[in-house]
Amino acid sequence: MAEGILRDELRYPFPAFVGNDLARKAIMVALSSADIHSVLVCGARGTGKSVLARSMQSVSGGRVMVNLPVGCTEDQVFGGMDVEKTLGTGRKTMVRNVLQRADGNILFADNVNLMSEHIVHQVLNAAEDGAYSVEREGISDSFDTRFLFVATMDPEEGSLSDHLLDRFDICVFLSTIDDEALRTELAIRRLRFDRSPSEFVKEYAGRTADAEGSVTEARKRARFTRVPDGYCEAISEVCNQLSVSGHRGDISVMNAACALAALDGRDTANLDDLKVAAAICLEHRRNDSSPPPQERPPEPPPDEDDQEGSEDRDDDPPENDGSPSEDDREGDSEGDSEPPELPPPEDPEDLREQVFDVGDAFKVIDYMPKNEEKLEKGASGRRSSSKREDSSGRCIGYRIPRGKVTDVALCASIRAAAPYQVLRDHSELAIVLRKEDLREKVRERRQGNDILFLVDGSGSIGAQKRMVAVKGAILSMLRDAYQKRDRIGMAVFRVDRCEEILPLTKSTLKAYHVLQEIPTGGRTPLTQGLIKGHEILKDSAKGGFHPVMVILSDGRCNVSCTPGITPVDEMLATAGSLSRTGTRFIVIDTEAGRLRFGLALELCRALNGTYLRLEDLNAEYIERSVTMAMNDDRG
Amino acid sequence: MKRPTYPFAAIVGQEDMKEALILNTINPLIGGVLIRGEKGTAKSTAVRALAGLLPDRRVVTGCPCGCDPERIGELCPSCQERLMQGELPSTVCAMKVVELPLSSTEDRVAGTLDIESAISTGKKRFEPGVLAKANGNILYVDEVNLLDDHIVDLLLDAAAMGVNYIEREGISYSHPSKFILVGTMNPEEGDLRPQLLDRFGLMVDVVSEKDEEMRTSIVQRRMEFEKNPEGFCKDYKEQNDEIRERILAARDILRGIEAGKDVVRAAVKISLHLGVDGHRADLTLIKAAEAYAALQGRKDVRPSDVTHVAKLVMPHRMRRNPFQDSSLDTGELEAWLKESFGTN
Repeated sequence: MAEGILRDELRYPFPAFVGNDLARKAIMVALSSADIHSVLVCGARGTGKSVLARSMQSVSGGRVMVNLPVGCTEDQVFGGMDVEKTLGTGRKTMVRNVLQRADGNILFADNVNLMSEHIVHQVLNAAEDGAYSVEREGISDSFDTRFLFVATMDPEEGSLSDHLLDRFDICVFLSTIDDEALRTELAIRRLRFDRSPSEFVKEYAGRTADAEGSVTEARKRARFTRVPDGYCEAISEVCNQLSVSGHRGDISVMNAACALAALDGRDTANLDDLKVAAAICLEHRRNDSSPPPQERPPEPPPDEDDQEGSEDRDDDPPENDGSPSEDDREGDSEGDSEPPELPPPEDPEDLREQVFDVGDAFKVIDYMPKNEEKLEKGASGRRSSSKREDSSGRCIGYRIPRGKVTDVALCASIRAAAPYQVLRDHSELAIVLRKEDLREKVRERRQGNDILFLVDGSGSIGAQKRMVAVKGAILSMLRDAYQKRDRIGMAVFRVDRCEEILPLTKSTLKAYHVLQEIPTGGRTPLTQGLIKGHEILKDSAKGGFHPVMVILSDGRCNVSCTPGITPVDEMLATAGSLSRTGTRFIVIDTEAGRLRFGLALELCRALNGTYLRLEDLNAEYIERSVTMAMNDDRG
Repeated sequence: MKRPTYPFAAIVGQEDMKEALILNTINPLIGGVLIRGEKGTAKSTAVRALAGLLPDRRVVTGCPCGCDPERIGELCPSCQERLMQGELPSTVCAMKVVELPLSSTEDRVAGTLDIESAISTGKKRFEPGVLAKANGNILYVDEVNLLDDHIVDLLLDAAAMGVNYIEREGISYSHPSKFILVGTMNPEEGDLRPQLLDRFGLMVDVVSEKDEEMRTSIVQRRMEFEKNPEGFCKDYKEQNDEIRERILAARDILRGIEAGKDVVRAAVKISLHLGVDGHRADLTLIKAAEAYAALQGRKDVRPSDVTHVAKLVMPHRMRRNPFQDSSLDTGELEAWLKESFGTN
């Protein structure tokens, strides 16, 4: 049996697939064109992504599906040394790798978003180029391989990066069928297949053969099919309208349109072909800010600003008479930057607790600063995938060790030793390993970040109802953190201390509950907050995580730990010493209104962190303001 | 000597959990059980006790993947080779509970190159991992929510296809890996990824018994067992065997069962009403209903069977995003079912 090929029992007959017509059409297109190299099938869990992708095999015209499992290692995919053969001859011989086995066939990767991006990238390259060059393990070789790459992913588990998405010629989205009759039919068919796959396949044999026949026909015809001249401009225009960057989109649309025409038995593509082709080739490449259908547009922040602006006007003028630093020097009993409408701290009214609602969630920008370690090693991947120095995480490759070897890649070491075995002394073992053969594992792990949200719960945030927006921002970042498998914690500083309200956890659900209940009111002990935050995060680096502190505050610290030092000075001094601890800091400035003290920015400088205003976090807001600015220019 | 496991029949209360486990042994295609609950609620005890109820199965003699000799299309490469050379000798053995420890490494789960053979003979050989051992058996993951992400990915892959594909360390291999996934977790220690959650056919929430009498009897039985395990097991042997017989009988009945259109429609209606993602819920409802009918000794599946198992199938599929609580309003569902399907 050929290795790694999908087994028969998994071949649900393609014509038996119910619903999602566009996706089925896209699969036919991909099979019918020699110029379409990759297809991505997206959908929520249980929508039949894998079933559809695997069913391609039944109508592929004799091509088989070679499986690319999630846990594959680079040497096996791209080519490494064949130990057995090398041992016998002493000549380096390459193992027959996955890409070679995929030649002339279909390469299938289920849950491609869970794979190492590094591997996915190279596979996509090979699919596009039809060739691959190996430079590994002392082997230098190149080979031709033409295959169709088919992948599935559930976007809820985190998406691929944009540049990888763009690489896919075709991308289709499967949705749950809402029609009762259709859904019943789907269930009945699936149950019959599960009960007796072979009988079910037999039942659909006729229709499967028909579909396969049209694929084979179309494949022959597609080479001679043309897109009329005028249409090319139309395609470019559509791409522009959808702000598709690059030209891969245009080319994919042309090829898909040709395949559609060929499937229909025509030699020229028509407008309908183009429409379908655009739908399956461009959706995932759009760069415009139109949100995915299920998400509703966020509340426009400008309105909120206006509201707050008017509120602020009442609050701010009295504060106007002194710079914040002057206020600070007056001592910590003075609520320096608190809105004066709040009673003095001693007054029990100030401790009045309020709990604000959680604001609407939005799509956050990629706010996490790049990991320096990652940059240094030139690794690609989503933000939290970082190469690991200890022995946890998925092994994606190996290297010649630096220093002492702790995590031996035994198999790689054996391969490294294999060519020299003919020269070495053997007693009873077939392979004699020497020190210089040793290789160590390179591991990748996706849960790299420990994110602590340090939330300002003081009255100044509450008074301006900023807390609603702050909570909305945290919720949005939580969602982002969930997809990237970060651990999250939360601490709130208010009144006279900082409290850890959520120990580091991966439970977003728990985080959400805690978030809802964050109280507001009282003064701003930011320094205590920084110290507490440092305590919470100080062990995470030891555990191999990357500590990140996200501080949401206006920076108006007004409680100091030591008498005689102004709160702000103390805060900045503390921040200065924390900046060297290896923790990365992100300061999200919640200050709103006309008058700004800019203390959060100063804090951020002292921490050597990344500074963002609360509004900057919202990806769509930024996109919108950029668009608005551009329109203004034109207008 | 191996210490006997606590007998299934001696577990007090927790009827939903017991039913969920039994339904899966009747029809492994249901897709496993996730048991959620605080510690000390007999989660692990129940799963380990299940081993005493499991039916026998026929496997290829000496096959590390436990291939089923009757399913020729699903044999592992070495069994295929043996088949080509002649006949496949087979033996009968009981289904097992195979545990996947949290600290497992990827190569031990998926299987990898047999290093010993590589070094001593220079030959590439595949060394099977936990996913091979689990084939045809129950794969049990205690604290499944704490399992490392990349191990979960492997589980998802194998569970999705029923085949474990290995492309690592110079080894390219595939073998059947069809298992009943049983996981236990304490929700306070973190969530389960929705994708993995959805793979579990059934889910039960267990809470500690509040009833005083029941609590007393739990403690008493446990103490009796600790004092004299063999004697205790002997006492419950008859009851345990009875459950086992029922499972075997139900498996026989299930072979002849086919859910009618009314049952399928009922399942689809429930899924649509609750607005779950995907179609896995529909299919699981029907399979569980079939198993439930078989357990009752009936050959005809009724819509009421579907509504009965809905409480096991639906709760964990209700969540539409990671921030919503997955809870099923059983009262609401029952009222709605009554309205839509008449008497229940």
